[in-house]
Amino acid sequence: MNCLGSEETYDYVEGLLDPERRKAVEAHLDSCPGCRARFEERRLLVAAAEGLPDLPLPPDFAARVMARIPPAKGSVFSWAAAAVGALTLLYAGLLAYILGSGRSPAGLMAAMNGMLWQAGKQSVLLLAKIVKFGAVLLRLLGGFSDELMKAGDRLFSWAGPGVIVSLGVLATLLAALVVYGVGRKLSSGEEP
Amino acid sequence: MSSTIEDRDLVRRAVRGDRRAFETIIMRYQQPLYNYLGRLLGERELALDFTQEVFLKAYASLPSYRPEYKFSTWLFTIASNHLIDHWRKKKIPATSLDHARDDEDGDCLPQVADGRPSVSRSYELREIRGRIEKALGRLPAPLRELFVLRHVNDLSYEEIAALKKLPVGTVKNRVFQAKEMLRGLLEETI
Repeated sequence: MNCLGSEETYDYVEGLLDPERRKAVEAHLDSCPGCRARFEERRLLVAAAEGLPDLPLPPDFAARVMARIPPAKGSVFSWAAAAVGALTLLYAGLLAYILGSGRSPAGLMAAMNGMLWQAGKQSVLLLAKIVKFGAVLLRLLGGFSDELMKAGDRLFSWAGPGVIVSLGVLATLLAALVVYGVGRKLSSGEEP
Repeated sequence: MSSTIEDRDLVRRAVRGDRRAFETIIMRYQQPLYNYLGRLLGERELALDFTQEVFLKAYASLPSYRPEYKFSTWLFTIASNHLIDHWRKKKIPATSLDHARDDEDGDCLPQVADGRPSVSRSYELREIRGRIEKALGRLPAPLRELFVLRHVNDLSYEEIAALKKLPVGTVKNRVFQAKEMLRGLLEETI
């Protein structure tokens, strides 16, 4: 076998030769000090280049990039689909509750309308109270409000419309249960 | 680049508005991209700005990414085009090679005499790395780019060929030229 060319030496260093050629090259390197020296030199160059250390990145680099990306907005369709899904679930829950109470269809419709009307009225009152309470809370928290707003923004951008609407429905149901429980206790004359 | 979640799944989720998915992509590629841009630009702050801009461009172009291509190749193509625009503005030759020939089998360039004191015998590996960092800046930009992609970012010749839209043989030949030039530059400093 003739002495190795530089290109073939690199191919050998990088493991690009087929097994047969590799064996021939290895046999030649064992018997040719000149080629062996050229091989060592190129092997060292490649090893040094491949072992170059990572350039130091700021630890918050990804956050910096993300801060320049506008928050994702769910499409109108996905918001509408989530809202319809949540309302359907709510309505099905109400229906199951009223059916369980053994009323007639006419009474059932009247009861459902009544319940929805009551729920709507209570929700508006509840929402007004939540807004008022939230405003007071934000004033009290002062400097933290920016962070809270950012956290809220992050939550809105990370969670999809489905998650946000579901959380909203759950929070409303929970609040309605609390209001209902407190109301019953007060009407029965017990301490809440 | 091995990962538990495939890049194409992350891209699909990011296109649907999942910011965490895109953040995962950034975490996965920030270091290789910064190593590439940093070693080609030679200025830390500029390389940081470029790396950010490449991710922002990638985010804006995500809907046009076709999953049959490797994501890393697509991302590095954006970075490479960004660099070429920069070099053109600064009038640094980005595509032509003054010293290089593109022929497939030309055993070109190695005007480095063998038989001089070997690099391997004169320097420790760490010292050679320091010298390589300095010598990289003296390589013509197009050769430097291919060398960094191959030997710093560990991309295959095929990936580089796809990224640079060049034949594999041409890429191999140019990387070879870069290595021999670099070897020459290292020996000059002994």
